[in-house]
Amino acid sequence: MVLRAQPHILVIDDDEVARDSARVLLGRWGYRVTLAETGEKGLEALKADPPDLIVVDLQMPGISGLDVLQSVRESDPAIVCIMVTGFATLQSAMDAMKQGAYDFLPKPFSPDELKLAVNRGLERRFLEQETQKLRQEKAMMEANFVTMVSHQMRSPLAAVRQLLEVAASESLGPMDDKYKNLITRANLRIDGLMQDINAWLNMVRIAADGVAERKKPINLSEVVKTLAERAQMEAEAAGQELSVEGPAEDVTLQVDRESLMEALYNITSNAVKYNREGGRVGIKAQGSRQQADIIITDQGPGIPEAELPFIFDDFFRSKSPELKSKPGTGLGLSITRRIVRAHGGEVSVSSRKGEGTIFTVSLPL
Amino acid sequence: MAKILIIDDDPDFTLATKAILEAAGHQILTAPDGKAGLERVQSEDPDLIILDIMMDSIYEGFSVTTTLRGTPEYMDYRDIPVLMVSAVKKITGQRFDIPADAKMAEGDEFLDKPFSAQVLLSKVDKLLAM
Repeated sequence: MVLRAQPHILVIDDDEVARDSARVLLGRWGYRVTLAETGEKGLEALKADPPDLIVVDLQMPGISGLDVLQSVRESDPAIVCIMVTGFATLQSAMDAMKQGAYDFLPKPFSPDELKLAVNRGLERRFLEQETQKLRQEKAMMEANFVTMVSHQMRSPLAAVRQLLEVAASESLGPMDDKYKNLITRANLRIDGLMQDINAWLNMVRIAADGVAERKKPINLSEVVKTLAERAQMEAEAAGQELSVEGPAEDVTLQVDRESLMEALYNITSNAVKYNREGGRVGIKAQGSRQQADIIITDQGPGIPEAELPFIFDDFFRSKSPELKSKPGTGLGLSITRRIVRAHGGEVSVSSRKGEGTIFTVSLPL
Repeated sequence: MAKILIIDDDPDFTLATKAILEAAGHQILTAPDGKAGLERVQSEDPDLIILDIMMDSIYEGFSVTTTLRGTPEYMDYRDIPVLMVSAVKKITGQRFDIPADAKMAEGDEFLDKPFSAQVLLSKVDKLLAM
């Protein structure tokens, strides 16, 4: 579908006078015009330089207007065809309409009648293209879930950063150094956050497509070790303890390391974030012949029972005040579940109010 | 010193961009959506258009460029340079997939939001010189 800056009209008519006056009129109205004196030449012109609209005489020696119409409908039904009929033969005009012509013009017609028919035809053409484009856009949007998330998260941040840029560039007048310093620091934090978002969304993209192709063997103990190192740092920073257990029997998993670790970090980060003060985070791993389980526990307020079925939903955030008060995007657990499922596994949760929460990630071997 | 039309559905972003451009001596007009934007193009004939892709209404920005470049009604405004902006870079590092035969939908230049005052002003100067 080619959109043209200037509508292009092809006029096919064996009558030289008709062709010339069409060219003058259509040119005057701002259209690009191509002329053809026979149906055959018309079809050649159609192929060489497809128009938006064709005005074609029904009665011509050689290939008739109806033949041209049929050809056009076969090759590109989006091109609008207006049939010019001599002797106002109703039958041929009706045949043409049935075969997909958009309109017909009985000879003799006035310049105004031509203009009206052509304008209506072009409007139809344009609408057709718009609809096509909208359909494509809708499909693009659905296919680009992550792009939409990116938009939701980055747009407000971009707006904030842009407002601060006005200050940083002193566009509204010079600023006291003390304020300038604060603005600079704020900008650095936002730039850092934008980078984090990019990395995060990139990770989601990785997780969403092609996990299967990137799987490599890795020992469960290795997974636990890497996870524990990261959890240890976060726990210490939050004044919490970390306990690590297992696996009693080491097993080998086939995983995409980058995305699986990210999936597990989401859970341990949550365990630290929502834990009670000075609480403990537990990581326990166990392997059997068929599967490996990684169990992560915390001693936080627990998740309300009514919310448990929803916590893995995109953007879900708890309404419970202790959980709501901590910052979060609501994406961590949904990303985790996506990744775990892409590995053929499952993640489940159980929780007790006031006691804590247990997440279990199970992976097939 | 040019007349620049900003078409963007984010009022904060519009405000910030306006401030930066006015500080450089340009005259700024704004519109919050594609329809209002096109009306302004006809009534004001700006020297440059800064157009957000406006993803909340299914990439409305692309519709604006298509209309400007592809309809007889806007023939007189076809040559106004368009700077397209967006907060979203498709995360593979490429911009949006625009099918090869819909190049009409693209602007003349593209900038990722947010942009520094310096970058914005130099792109604007470049496009105005075109």
